[in-house]
Amino acid sequence: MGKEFAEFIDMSTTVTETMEGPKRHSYSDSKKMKIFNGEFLPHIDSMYNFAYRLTFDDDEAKDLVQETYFKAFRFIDSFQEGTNAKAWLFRILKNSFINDFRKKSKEPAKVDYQEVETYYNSDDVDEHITVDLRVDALQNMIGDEVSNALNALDVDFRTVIILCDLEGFTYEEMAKILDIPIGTVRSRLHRARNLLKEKLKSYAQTMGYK
Amino acid sequence: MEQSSAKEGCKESVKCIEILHLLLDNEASPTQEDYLRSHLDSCLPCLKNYKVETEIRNILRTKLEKREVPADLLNAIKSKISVSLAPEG
Repeated sequence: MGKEFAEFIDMSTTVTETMEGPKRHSYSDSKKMKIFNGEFLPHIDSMYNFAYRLTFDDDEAKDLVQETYFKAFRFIDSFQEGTNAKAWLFRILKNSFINDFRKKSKEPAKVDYQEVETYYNSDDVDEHITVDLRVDALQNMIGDEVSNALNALDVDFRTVIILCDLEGFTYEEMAKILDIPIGTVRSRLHRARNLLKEKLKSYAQTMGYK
Repeated sequence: MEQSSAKEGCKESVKCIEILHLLLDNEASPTQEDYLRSHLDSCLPCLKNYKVETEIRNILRTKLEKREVPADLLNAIKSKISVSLAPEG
């Protein structure tokens, strides 16, 4: 079982179970098609939008989604029918993005977010600086402004906001998708929200809100 | 329970903001939820934060443009999968 296989852990399993490797099934071809069409393909909308928000490019998003589905089919025997297909697919997509797409994209070098998190979680930084923002300023924003604020965040911060607020994943699901502890999900999300609020605040100021 | 006006700020803002995020993400425990709900009745700064944080989540969900999946993508995936299942020869 190669390293690549590790990314296809059954999302329904516990951490202890995954240490021993994913459980394999031997689905028949018709069963594979049933799972693929019934449990995987319905998530194509969310997958495509996630891929686009990672790459900012329609062609790359298409390639990323295709590759994710091909991998999902190839490793379908490690998926437990009826479990969390959406989280499983998002995990594959995220790993494909990191392994294949990030390398060739124009995105600047990856931020060492472990370092960033250590810094922001230290006592030297007041993590709870309140960014004064008014509800009416937020309500009057147009989609482009909200989109620009989100897209201005580093990809790791952008990702947690997308997974939590747009896709509604739980912290536990996010931890599995991103391969990080739940505590890190919380701190990264917290930091991401503060950064997003700062961006939204600067848009509000340009609109004339104080 | 402390009462805070908008001017003086909440004395427990660190704890409150943490619970506020958990609550809005549906991750708060019943005890945390009870605490914050009753705290919001008497703390204006936290109530303001609550409204702002709720609205940020709301605009993310409602104002961001959803991209249409390209028409050919679904078919491309389906046909490649069918080919991979077809008997060889």
